[in-house]
Amino acid sequence: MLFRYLCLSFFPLLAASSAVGEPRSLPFDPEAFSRLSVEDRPRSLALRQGQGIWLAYDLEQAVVFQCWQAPEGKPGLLKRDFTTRSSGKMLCVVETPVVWQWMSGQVAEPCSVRYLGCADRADHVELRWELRGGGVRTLQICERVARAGAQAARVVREIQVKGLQSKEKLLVPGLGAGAWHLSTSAGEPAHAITDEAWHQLSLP
Amino acid sequence: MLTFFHRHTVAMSARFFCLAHIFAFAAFSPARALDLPATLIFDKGPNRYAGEVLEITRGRGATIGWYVQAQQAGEVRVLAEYTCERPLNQAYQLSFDGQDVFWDVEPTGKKKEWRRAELGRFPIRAGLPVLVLLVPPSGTKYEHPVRFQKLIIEGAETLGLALASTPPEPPAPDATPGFGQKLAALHPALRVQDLRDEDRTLRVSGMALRGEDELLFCTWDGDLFSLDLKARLTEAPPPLRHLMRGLSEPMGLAVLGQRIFVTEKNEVTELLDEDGDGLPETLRCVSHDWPCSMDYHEYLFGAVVKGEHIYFSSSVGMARRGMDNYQAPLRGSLVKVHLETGHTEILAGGLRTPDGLGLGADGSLLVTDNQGEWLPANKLIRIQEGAFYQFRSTPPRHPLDRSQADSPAVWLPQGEIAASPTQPFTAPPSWGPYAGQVIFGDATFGGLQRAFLEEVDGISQGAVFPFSQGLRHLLHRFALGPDGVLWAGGIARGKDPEFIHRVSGLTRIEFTGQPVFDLLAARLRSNGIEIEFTQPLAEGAGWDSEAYHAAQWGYQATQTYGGQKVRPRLAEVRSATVSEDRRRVFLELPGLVAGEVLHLRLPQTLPSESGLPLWSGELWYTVNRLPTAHLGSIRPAPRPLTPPAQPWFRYSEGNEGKTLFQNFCSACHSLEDTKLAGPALRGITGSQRRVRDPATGAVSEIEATAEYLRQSILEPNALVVEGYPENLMPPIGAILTSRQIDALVEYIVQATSAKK
Repeated sequence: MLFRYLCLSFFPLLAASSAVGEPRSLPFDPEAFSRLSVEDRPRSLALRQGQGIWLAYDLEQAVVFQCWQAPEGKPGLLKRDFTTRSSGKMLCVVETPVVWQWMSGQVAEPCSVRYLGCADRADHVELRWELRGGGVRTLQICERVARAGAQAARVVREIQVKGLQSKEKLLVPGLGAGAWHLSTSAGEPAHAITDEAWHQLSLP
Repeated sequence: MLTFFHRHTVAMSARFFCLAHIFAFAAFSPARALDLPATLIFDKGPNRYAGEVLEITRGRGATIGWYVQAQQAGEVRVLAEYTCERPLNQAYQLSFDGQDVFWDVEPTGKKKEWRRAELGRFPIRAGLPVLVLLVPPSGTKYEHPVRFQKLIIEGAETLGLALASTPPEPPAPDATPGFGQKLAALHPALRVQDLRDEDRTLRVSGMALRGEDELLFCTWDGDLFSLDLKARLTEAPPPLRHLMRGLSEPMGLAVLGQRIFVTEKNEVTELLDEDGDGLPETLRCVSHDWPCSMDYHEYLFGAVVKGEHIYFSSSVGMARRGMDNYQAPLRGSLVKVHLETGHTEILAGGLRTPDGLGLGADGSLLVTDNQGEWLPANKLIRIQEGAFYQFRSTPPRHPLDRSQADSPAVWLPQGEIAASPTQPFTAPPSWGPYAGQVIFGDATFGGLQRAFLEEVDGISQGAVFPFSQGLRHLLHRFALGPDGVLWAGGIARGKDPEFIHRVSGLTRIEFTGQPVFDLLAARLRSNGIEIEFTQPLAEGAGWDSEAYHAAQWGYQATQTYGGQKVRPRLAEVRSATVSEDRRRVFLELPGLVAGEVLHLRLPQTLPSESGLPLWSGELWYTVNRLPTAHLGSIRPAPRPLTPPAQPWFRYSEGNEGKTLFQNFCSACHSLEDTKLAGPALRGITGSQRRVRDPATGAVSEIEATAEYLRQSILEPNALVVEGYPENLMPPIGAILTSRQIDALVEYIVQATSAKK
């Protein structure tokens, strides 16, 4: 027998929320952090930064595949059944599939990606992946997205990579003009990550 | 007007219906080949004949099958004579006595260019009529037909092949709750407390105890709750603590010590409380090492933690079943994941909607699966590593897919004892006589069902019994407290929020130990079956073989939804022998066949020593293996039998339709105004209904005639009542015979006309 719960159209997540009289401090409030699939990608999630900026992650590729601004006074994520869609003005779309490249000297190796999980902390959301090149070594990626709105840029994410050895670097996909900018914690532009320091990814 | 027959009449029929006779018209051919013409199939469904040629454009509803009998065992090859102008997007299934092959129909080009194709070679048994089924792709409609003239069966030698007649569904005695019809009340030894929360709809999808005093459960909508079992639960609503939101369609929850694991839509997740505030805020993805798609019906059901692993099952998708039946690889698996490393293994395949996973008394993994494509009935499976349970997808097939599938431990006939079976659990020691038996819920049929399992030559098999109805919730998930209290969670599908709210939520169930006279167990012997009661029979009772109505049949899985019974017939009960302690009766059954289900009905009037009436009088035993040299003891009755004051069974006109309605329709359709998952039927006959054609979206108003009811049964998605979604109603027309559909429609017309 089939299990199915159908609604006729997409509804704002707020209206679809089932909790009654619950404190807002509960983790994974779907109004700001939806773990349902977004835009027909089965393993994906969507986060809200500030009041109306949304980021959608493809968890199998460890990439923000789109970022958008919710319409003024309206929800930016609409839910139907157990799937969601974006609503608003698209700020950035990253063409997928993407490839993470682990460089040792001049040799670049494409990485396989394994999603490790996420956390809903008090002031930020955290996501983790493991990257594996051709060998047995792995890299650990941690990404943080502050709940509060960004200041200088419209959107800011932070990324940390563990496991790189000297003379190795990780090329982050989805960078470029009109797309995400990578910079060091000191604000210096960067094209790749070479150490364990936190880097910033921002959308101008 | 009702007419009554004495059981004796049927006993004579039973002998008449024995295998040797029901196919009696078979004329054995001395030739090595036998034609199976298109004109002699069971049902052409929506297809049409052009002379002696069947033009097949649609699979669903057609039953292109024959019974074939051989005088000698041997090997045969099967050929098809056909034309087909253009390629098809899916293969035909040929099933020969349960063995499947797929036929990629090669186009012949021109319409009149007949071709013979060899479809496969199969062993054929001697004596037993075997079913030969040619199954077109279901759900799909082709503009160009496969023009089919006949199958040809050729033996390597003269096997004495013959076509055998199609056996009719044998008559069944009048039904009352627990006796041919779903129970209607709570089991006398159960006490139920409905932990209703009027403000919340809790569609419980996973449940486990953390420690002895905390019940954790998650909901389909993605919430996690905790209930302190030390708290007073006498006042509604129960004091639930909301721990988190945002889980993605969790369908299983398991606890190891203080650790919590859930099986979500696409991953296995550990819920961690790293900041120590009591609310999980970190989700560790333990594994997602299998492909998935956007199909709404892909779930991970479970879950059970054993040792260092979590076990769960994955359902197949449904969204493309009307197109090409494609499945994401590895769907329909029993999966084992290491809790720390995430290492993922596929233990078994061929599952469909295995919405129940639990542990047997011996620690084995038990799975329930839901009837539908490739499942002619529901199943209770005792998982064997490497087994394949027969749901097949179009390529790429499951890596464990093979021609001969593995059998469930117990078949759960659709509408008779199950419709959407859910989590199985083992009854604890405090559950009296039922301790150690398997109990499971049902998200459509409702209530609790019970199974007794045994092993014959290392093969699991057993019987299923009705156990209890009378529960408000459609029970989905269970957790047993250390005191034997059962915590149960209900769930619902559909669209009506009032109905969903009513049948979802928490229930506390206690086993009180109140004495009950019930069927307890059934054990197969080489020459029959021994049934055990919870209490002794009254002195002198139980010896009359005519007090046992027995029927038997097989199942054939096809790519079409559901399936009719194979070789349905009455079974001869040659004798009945009561044990010294009068708690057991051995029924001598000379016609048992491995691979079939034996259904026994006992009369309500069978007396117990205590004077208690029999709670429920039927069981379905799955004969996977007949034991060798394990004979049941046969003794003559100690004194001559006295004929019963009333016949043991009655056979009334109209009983069949009423029983079919109770079993197949009443879970979702009320004859009154009560809203259930489907539309209420009060006054439907002759009324105007607003219906939608899902194919075009066109809405129209039609009169609900008998023909409309028939079409709704046969093709539920053809015209959907406005406001209800597609695919909500299963195509039960595929399970019922034409005669049964006639009886069902007649009953609905009668019942709903009277209630206008």
